[in-house]
Amino acid sequence: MGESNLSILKKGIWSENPTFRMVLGICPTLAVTNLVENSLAMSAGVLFVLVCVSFTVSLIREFVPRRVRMAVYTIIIATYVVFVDMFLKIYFPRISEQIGPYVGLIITNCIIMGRAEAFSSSNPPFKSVLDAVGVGLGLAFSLIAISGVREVMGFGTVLGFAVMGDAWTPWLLLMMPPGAFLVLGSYIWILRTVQRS
Amino acid sequence: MREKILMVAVLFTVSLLSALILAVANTVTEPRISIERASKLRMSILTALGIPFDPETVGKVYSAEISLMPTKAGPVYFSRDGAASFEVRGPGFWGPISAVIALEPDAATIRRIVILEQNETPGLGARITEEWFTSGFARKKIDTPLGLFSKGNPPGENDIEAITSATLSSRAIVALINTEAVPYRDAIRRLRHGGK
Repeated sequence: MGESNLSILKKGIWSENPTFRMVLGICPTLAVTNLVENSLAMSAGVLFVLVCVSFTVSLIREFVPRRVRMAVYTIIIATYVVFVDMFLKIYFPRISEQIGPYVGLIITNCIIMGRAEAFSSSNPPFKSVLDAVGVGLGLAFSLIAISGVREVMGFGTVLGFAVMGDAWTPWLLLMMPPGAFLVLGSYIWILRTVQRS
Repeated sequence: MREKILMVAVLFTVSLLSALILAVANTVTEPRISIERASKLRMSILTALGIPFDPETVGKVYSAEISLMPTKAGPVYFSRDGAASFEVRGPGFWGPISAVIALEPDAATIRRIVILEQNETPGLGARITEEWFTSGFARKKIDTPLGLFSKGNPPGENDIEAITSATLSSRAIVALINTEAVPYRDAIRRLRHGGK
């Protein structure tokens, strides 16, 4: 593993972006990207869980028998996710109401299990945290990119502030779940074309 | 054999640790979370009854203005002018919806409704929380079932304007009032009759 720290970090954001390149964690992506605010909260939640899980998994990687590793990872992930849920309920009750059900679903977010299995179970803690930060930021980048388009076109606002003027007719389709598919698909197409050239 | 014991031991330890940590976290945060919930209910009750308050003095205003009466249907919150409010709960389009409904002292006319919890589609069904929609319920009588009308059509006497492209969410609120509010209305009337 001769990879430099910087390239581990950069990989998650760009060349191995979890949403646009690996197409992982799509359910929360489709669900919370109707508003930039929800996307920020979701990204922060996943980033936090991802970093904690990667660090913990990496620390105990020598002690976990291979056959029960998945069960152990799931318990660790679930523990941190419940923390995030409690935190949102106390400090951001309004956001918690909007994305509440999806916070619990961070447990099944394949990005987190994917990083635990593919990276932190076989790498030292520092590198694992870097990898987690990179992938977490990559997810945040994707969610904000998608929700930016959906909120501006669908509601005419950014973070709740009107930006399109009164004459703007909101694109109903983009507010609804199918809109997320269209925007996500377009981004995957654009990003892959750009990266190939 | 040793390998199997190790497997069980590791899983057991990890589960135990996780359970312990979460139990502690839950005990620490539980009071704050329920305070949050209770204060939201209080604010909704005050809003529904039309009692002015500012966020800092909710507790004071609430305890001065509201008296709680348990009934068969559930708790009913009376204001000093005799209006009654209560919380109803029912299915929405995506998840449960709960609302606080306030009735005038005649126990028949709606004073105001406030949506407490909902999980409807943001931008569409979630507009049930908006003032223009909920204010449509004010002054309606709940003795005859409420209905819906859509923009451009003549409304019936007991019709509420439905939200465009959120008919099911609009319907859910009307159904909530037509079904869930009735036992409360009857309980309030019985209370009037027997009491005071």
